[in-house]
Parts: sequence; structure tokens; C-alpha cells
Amino acid sequence: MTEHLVPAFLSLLDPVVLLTITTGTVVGIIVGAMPGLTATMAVALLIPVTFGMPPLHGLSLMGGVYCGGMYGGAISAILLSTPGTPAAAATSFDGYPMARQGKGGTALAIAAWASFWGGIISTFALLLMAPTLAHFSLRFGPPEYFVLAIMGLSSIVTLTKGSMVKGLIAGFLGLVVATVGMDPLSGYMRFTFGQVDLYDGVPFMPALIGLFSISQILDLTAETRIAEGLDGTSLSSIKRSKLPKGLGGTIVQGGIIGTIVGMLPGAGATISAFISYNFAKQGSKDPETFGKGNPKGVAASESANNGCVGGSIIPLLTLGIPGNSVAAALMGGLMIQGLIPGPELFTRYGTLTYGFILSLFLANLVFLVLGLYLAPYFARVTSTPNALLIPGIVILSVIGSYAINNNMFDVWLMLGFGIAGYFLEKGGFSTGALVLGLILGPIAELGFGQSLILSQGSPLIFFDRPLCIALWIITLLLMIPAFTSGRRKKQA
Amino acid sequence: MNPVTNRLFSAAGLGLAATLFLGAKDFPDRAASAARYIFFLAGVLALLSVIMFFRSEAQSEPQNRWIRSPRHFLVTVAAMAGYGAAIPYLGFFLASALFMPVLALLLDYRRPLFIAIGTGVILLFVYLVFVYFLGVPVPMGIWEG
Amino acid sequence: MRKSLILLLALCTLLGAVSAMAADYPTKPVTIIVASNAGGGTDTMARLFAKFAEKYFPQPFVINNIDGAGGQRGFDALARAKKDGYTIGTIYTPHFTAHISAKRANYTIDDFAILYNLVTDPGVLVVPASSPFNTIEDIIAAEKADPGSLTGSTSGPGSDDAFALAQFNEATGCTVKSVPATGSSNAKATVMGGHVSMGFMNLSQIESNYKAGEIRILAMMTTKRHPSVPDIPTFAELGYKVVSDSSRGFAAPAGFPEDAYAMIVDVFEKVLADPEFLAAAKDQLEMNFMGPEEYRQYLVDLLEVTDKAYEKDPW
Repeated sequence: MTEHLVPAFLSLLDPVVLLTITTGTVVGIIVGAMPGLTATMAVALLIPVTFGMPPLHGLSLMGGVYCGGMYGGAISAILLSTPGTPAAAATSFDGYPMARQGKGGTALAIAAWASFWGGIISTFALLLMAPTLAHFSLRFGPPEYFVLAIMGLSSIVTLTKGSMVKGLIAGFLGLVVATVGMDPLSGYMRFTFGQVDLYDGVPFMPALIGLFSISQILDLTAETRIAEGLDGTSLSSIKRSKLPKGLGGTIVQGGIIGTIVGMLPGAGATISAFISYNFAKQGSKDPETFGKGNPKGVAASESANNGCVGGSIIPLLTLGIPGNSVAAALMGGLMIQGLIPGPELFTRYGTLTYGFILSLFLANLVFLVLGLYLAPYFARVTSTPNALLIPGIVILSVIGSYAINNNMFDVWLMLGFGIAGYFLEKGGFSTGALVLGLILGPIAELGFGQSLILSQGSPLIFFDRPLCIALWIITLLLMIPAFTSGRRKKQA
Repeated sequence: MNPVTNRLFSAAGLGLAATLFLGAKDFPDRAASAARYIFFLAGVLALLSVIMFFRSEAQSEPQNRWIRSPRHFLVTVAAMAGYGAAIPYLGFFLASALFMPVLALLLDYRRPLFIAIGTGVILLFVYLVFVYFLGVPVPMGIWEG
Repeated sequence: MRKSLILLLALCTLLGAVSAMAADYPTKPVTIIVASNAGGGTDTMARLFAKFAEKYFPQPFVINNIDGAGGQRGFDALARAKKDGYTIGTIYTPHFTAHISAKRANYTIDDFAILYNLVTDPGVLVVPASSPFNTIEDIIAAEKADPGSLTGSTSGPGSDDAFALAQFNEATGCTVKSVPATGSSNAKATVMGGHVSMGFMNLSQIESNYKAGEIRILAMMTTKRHPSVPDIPTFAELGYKVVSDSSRGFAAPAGFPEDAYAMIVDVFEKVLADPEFLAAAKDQLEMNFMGPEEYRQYLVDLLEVTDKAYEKDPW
């Protein structure tokens, strides 16, 4: 490895490579910030384009898109409560309240730093431990996926602010919505009403945009600006304020969670962000401030979703198993250059592979610098009059929902979820919990079904594997604070 | 939250659970495990709804108003519906160019220059990013070549 | 206010309207409806084709991804597309015919003017390197020792892997149970992690892992040995009837103008002979070209197979 690192590093000093990294990262940020445009789309588009380029140019371009895209999602999630990528959904829980309090610039800066360190941690893991970690990731089988999904679902308890019953109802509502579409085991169509558009289930991104973004702007119709209670003079305070201290632990924890979950195909960045958020909240001394603008919430979610970038590339390069859809598109980009995932990538093509890995460090640096520099300018959006912002967000939500599958059905679905989400939220049901049920329902269900086929129907399979037991213990530990703190409050 | 609305939500939850139960009863044999999962979800949902029904009075949740500004809320919903309906005919760009100024005016914004600039900037941005660079098709309606 | 509105209207009209003046075909870009997400195997194939086709066609080809319902939304859209010579699309098997068999499709094979098949990805039976199974006989012995204990990963009901598993069970008398996975990555991880006894997969998914020695291919589901892995016997050689593959190609809606069809066919001929295209495609696509007639016959034959499979074991 060391013999490849020096030439790999030198190959990065080529100004063209530096330019492709920067271009890729900027494109990624834009694509990531726009709901409906995904880094996967951008990478897919680049594959034929990069064919004519020297391999490192093409790969660093696509790596930049991936890193930038993961960070870009945070911008719209924080400022407009419109997650540009599903992975940024958890970022909006605390980021958007911060923006409402006039701290949008600070939230964006935290997101940039957290994304940066999350990315750096996972890229180090990729650089130093890829083969070991990849083989570890293979030990996650169907039972482990099931328990992991339960671990994620347990954060419904965490996400609820008011009544626990209502939180659970919202979570189960999400699970119910997730059952629409083809049953993964038998292929039977459930609750699709013969509608082809529902065969694959309720499309996730339109539902998410509706629940988070449209429901939010419907509430904003009663106000003039997102940043509430700010007059002309204090607007300048949006610009810069000191970064809060004590986020280091949260960020490192998020980066590690992101790396591990990112390696698992089918789990992904969204889940890692929720799990990391749950860890941060349950580990903190003041869990009740989460969801109301706690900077740790932003840091936890963003460090985890950017941690997934390096994580998902680990099994891609070593085993040819991409951890998510962007990594899958990236695999197309590798293969078009004749680079077949496997051990040879680290030996015969070592200089190129390590060059690609090192370019990810630079991409992280690029979005950090851009993110920090531009944060105050972006934050001005929150002082735009709502009368302009509302139609603007609707337009972007509509085109974003449409663009995912080129389907007007998704647009109506998005608007429907928006209105339903508004009334649920007003009634005290957390849309965050609903979204969690919607994401994790299919994973839990499939993992459960697959496991029972493997065990010939015995549920013991969920309890006699070491990794499963470890995951159960973590899940239980995460639940304890939610119940004890509730009891303490009642006694007081 | 007053008990009445909570009870309405409970009733809706029970209704949904019943619908799910009836729907899953008709699943064929090969989807038996899928049906069992739905029964489970319906059961839990019904149970939670019942709990909410009886606990609603005991809970003292902060009062909130369903809709703080009814007129603005309704015009926004109506404008969104009209916008969605217009897109397949007028195409995305024309529909958006009408929707943004109309809704901004309905929300009592009275600065035509800013409305024009805002509309122009958003549409130009969508055109550049979606159509020009990424080649993602947008609905064209009657402009479809 | 009114002025700025009019100005905007004019701007949008300019952006929106594509001038379609009368001239010889082609006067505007040809759309390729890709019935899968951006970034998947079918998408890569279409984008590669589009890139190289521009050398041989006066207008660009633009990709329109219409994903969903196992390709059905895209196939439906292609069948219903305007027959003006400006829309072609991708089809892939067995999904293309499986939807017809399941009576969910709003199209038949006759709704398409079939073009070229580019990729045929043969089915393979694989086990992880750590598996005790070295031959099909080992699997049958294990079945006899403990009936019903064997599991095989597939990509779900109605997929070529599921058909292959059914054929395997019928040919060998085993009762391997299908463990459906979501997506190629998930299936691969389940097999390589040793969570299932064996995997029913496609060659392109695991070729690199086979060469790296991480998995073993026990048999190919082809009629002849495959040039990429000439050492691996076919099921037929071993005395079992298991034939399965998944293919990807192009079609146009039926009623496509004849001159346009001839021109597009010509473009395919040229692209498929372009050495640069072949170089770009060879590492990621299991190339297997079929011309319009051969491809159409392949689809008709496949429909019979999927019809029978559906009767026996619906999805």
C-alpha cells in the first residue's frame, strides 16, 4: 500500500485533477441540495462522459459529486425543511428549528464541519481497513438486518416530543404505508388498487418532500419570514456567530456509525443518520432540547450520512458490492475504465485506486471551504419574504417529485402527503416517526421473512447469533434513557 | 389538543385498522405471511388508538390552532392544486411562471419587481440544472415537440 | 407587473417550445425511454449506446428514465409512445414477458417493433468459497441427508433467478427454498456472507468475485459453455435441464415509420461494430448481439416459458 501512496498523492497534484474534484464537488452540492435530483443521477450521467478521460480524472469527478451531494442535502434541509436527499431528513429535525431561530448560518457551518469530519473518518477507514471491514460487513445477514431495523425503529420513541402513544401511532402508520406494493416474499400486490405507480410501493422521496416540506410551508402561510421575530437590524446576526463547543464526540460517533451502516447494502445513509441522531440524543444530558434546535442533532445526522460515503465504497472496491445506489453507479464508472472491483484494484491498479481514495479527502475539503464560506449567504434565504419563498418551494418540490420517476402521479402523492402531514403534525403526531416507519418497514419485513425461511420458521435465529445479540443490547441500552427520564419527570 | 379531536384521530385509527384487516383477509394463500404482518400492524394500530381514546382527557397538551391563517392556508392549497392540474396542459415552465406570481399576490405580496425576479431566477435555475445540464425531462404539456 | 409577466411568458415559450419544422428525418433528438433508474445496468447500456450513436446519427439521443414496477412503467410508456420515429426504449427480460404472463402488462409483444438485443447475462449457480459444496451432486446429497434445509438467494418472485430455482428443483428433485433479496448488492452479500446455501445469480454480478476466488460457480444455465468462463460446465452437460438468463435490448413502438426504423437499425449496426464501443462495454456488459428477427423470436419463446411458470407458481 505505501508504495502506491506517494505516486497516488503526486498524481493528485495535477491541476486538471484538482479542477475535476472541485467541479464534481460543486455539481454534487447543487444536485444534493435540490430535492429530486440525486448524486446517483449525476454519476450515471457522467459515466459515458468519463469514458474518454484518463481514469483518475473521471473517478475524482464522480467521487466529488458523491461527497458534495451528501453534504448538499443539508443546506435545503436546514434552511427550508426540505431534505434535498433522504439522508438529510434527520438533519432538518434540529437544523430547521435553528434556522427559525435565526441561527441558519451557524447550523450550516456545523453541517459543513460535521460532514467534513464524517467524510474524513470514513475515508480513513476506507484507506486503512477496507478488506477487514468488508469481510466484517458480510457477517450481516437477514437476521442482523432485521435487528438493525428494529434498532432504527426504536428511535421512534426518541423522536416523539409529546405523547408516546401518538409517536407510536405515527411510526406504525409509516409501517402501514410501507406495506403498499409488491410483497417481497410472494410477489403479491398489496393495496395497490391496480395502480401501476404503486407496484413498487409508495415512492419514498415524494412522500418525504410532502411530509417535511409542503406541510411546513402550509404552516408558514401564517408568517412573513422563516427566521421568526427578526427585524431588519438583527438580520446581520444570521451571518456569523461562534460555533458551539462540545460537538466533537457526537461527530466522531456519527462518522463511525455512518461508516459501519454505509457498508451494509440496503441499509444506507438515511438509516445511519437516524441511528446516529438517536445515539446523540440518548447519550446527551439534555435530550429534551433535541428537535428544538440542538446543534448536536445537526452534527450527529450530517457526520453519519457523510460517513456513509467512505463506508459504501469499502465493499464496492474490495468485493464489488456497492453499499447504495450512488456506489452502484460509481461501479459503472469504474468498470467503464476497465477497473474491476477486487484485490487487483489495490495492487495492480494501486496508484489509481489510492489516488481515487485520496481525492475523496480533497473533495471533503472543497465542500468544507465552500460550505463555510457560503453559509451566511445561503442563510439569507430565511429572511426572504414567505410570500415568495412558499411558491418557490412548491415549484421546486413539484419538479423534484416529478423528476425522480418522471411521473405526475408522484406530484399528487407529494401534495397529498403534504396536507396529511400538516394535520398529523398539528394533531401531535410526529412526521419524523412516520418517515422512519416508511424507510425501515420494508427492511424489517424483508429481514424477518428471509430469516424465517433460513431458520425453517424458528424465531431463535434472531437471538443465537453474536452480532444479533450485540445489536439487541445496543437497542435496549438506547431505550433506557427514554423511559427513565419520563419516569423521573412524573415523580418530580 | 382538545379531547374531541384526539377522539376523532382515534376513530380514524380504528377505521384504518379495520380497513387493513378486511383488506388482508382477501390475500391469497401464497401471501399468508404478508397477511399475518398486516394483521399484526392492524392490531397494534387498533390497540394504540383505543389507548389514545381513553387517555385523551387525562393529557394536558398545549393548545394549538389548527390553521393560524385560514385565508392564506386555503389559497395556498387551492393554488397548489390548480398548479398541479395545469402542468400537464401548460407544461412545467408556463404553469410555474403563472403559479408563482399568482400565489405571491394572493399571499398579499405587492412588489412586482421582486416577484418577477424571483420567478425568473427559480425557473432559470431549474432550466439550467434540470434541463440543460442533467437532461432530466420536465413536463412540457402543449409545448411537447 | 403585466409587462414583466408577458416577458416571462415569452421567455418560457422560448425555453419550452422545440421547433418541429418540416424537414427530413431526423429533425430533433430521439428519446430513449429507459425502464430503470439512472445508474443501473440497463441505464449504463443505454447511455453508452447513446454516446456512440451520436457519431452515426445527425441528432443526439436523450435518455428518459421511467423506472418502476419492475420495468413495467417504462415498457408501458414505450408501447404508448408517439409513433413518429422520435422515441425508442429499452426492454429487459424476463420482466418484459413476465408482466405479460402475470396479466399486469398493458402491452403485448406485438405493440413493439423489436430492435436489437445487446446483453445476455447467463444464469449461474454459485456458492461462497467457504461452502462444502463443490458439485451439484454435493447439493443433492445434502438435500437427501436433511430434506428441506437448503436455501438459495434469488432476486424475488417473477425474476429469472426465481425461474432458475424452480427449474433446478424440478431437475434435481431438491426442495431448495427461495430467499428473495432486494437488489443485486443484497443478493450478493447474502451469498458471499454464507447466509444461504447457494445463490441463483447472473454471471455479470459475480464474475469478478469468481476470478478473485471468493465464490465458486458450480454450473452455468446456458446451452453452451460461456466464453468468459470456459472451465465451468453447463447444467445440460451435467444432465440437468436448467436454462436461464436475463437480457437487455432495445425496441421501438409498433407503427414506427419505416424509413426511421431503417435508419435506427443502421445506427445499431454501426455502433455494435464500433471498436471503441466494444472496448467501453466489454467489462461491464455481457455482450450478446441479436438482430431484430432473432430477438423477437427469443421474446416469443420466452413468453411461453414465463406463461408456464406463472400457471404453476404465480407471483
